[in-house]
Amino acid sequence: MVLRETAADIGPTDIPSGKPRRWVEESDGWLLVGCILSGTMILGPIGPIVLGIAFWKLYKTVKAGTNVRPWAATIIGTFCLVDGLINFSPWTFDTFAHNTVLGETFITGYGRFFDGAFYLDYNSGALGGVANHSEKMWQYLAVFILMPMRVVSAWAFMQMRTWGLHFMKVSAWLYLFLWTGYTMAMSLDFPVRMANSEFGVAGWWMFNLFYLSPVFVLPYLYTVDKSRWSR
Amino acid sequence: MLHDALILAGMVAADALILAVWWFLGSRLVPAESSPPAAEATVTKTPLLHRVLTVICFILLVGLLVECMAMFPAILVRFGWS
Repeated sequence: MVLRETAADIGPTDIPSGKPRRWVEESDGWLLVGCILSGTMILGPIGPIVLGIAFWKLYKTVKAGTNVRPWAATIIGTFCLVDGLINFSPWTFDTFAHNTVLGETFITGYGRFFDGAFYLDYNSGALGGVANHSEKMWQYLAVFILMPMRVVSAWAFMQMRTWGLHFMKVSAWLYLFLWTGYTMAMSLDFPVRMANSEFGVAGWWMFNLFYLSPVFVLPYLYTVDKSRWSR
Repeated sequence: MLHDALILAGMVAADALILAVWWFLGSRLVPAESSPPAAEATVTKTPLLHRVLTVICFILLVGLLVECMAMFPAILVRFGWS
């Protein structure tokens, strides 16, 4: 027999009323909306405010000892979700909406700041949007496979689902694969990409440093008590 | 304007569809081995490692959020609409 005494020992499926809970934590709705708004980048100035409210509400439950999800899983899951969305959303702008004023302003503006491939010969290729072939290849891999996989796995991970923990590991390894290939592609194309941007080498570091998420997330995923991911 | 709105609506629909397909696939690809019950679980005690990783991820998350907040306004201020 297993005695469960503290809030942390109570599984996410144990509901006193017997009615299935929609979220693991009460304020997860705020958390999801904050992540989505931040992840679009276009609505980025609003997103972190909503996310701040969600974190404040979650932190109060941690202080009160009534939280179900470990605080570390909340931070790491949110980081992966925002990271996945800010890769997914802008790349889908370039894939599907490169002819719109909003899409072209955003993507070419990013290109002028950080990566010349996103504004030189823009919309001149067969698929529209970015004309650089290696960038287009990584973009399709990211938009159709890796980033949506990352986004859904991060949310399922935060909802304490068994498959969420499993998919987080799979998508983290794939992310490491993409990061290595993408970094190589950008470095080899440096003269036509970063060299044609305002930030140059500094921009390369500014962006790529934050995308090292798998390096910090994988050790956590492999040492965590997986019995808690049981929904 | 209407032309752009239609394309953007299509993009949002495509995004939702892609995410829904992956959610569907992920939720059906549960690993063969089931999670052990809590009492029998092999708990690896790594509180220090978890604390360090949480702090690093929090710092990186703050960096990403600053990027999210600043990027589009900075583009509009510096380059204007295309």
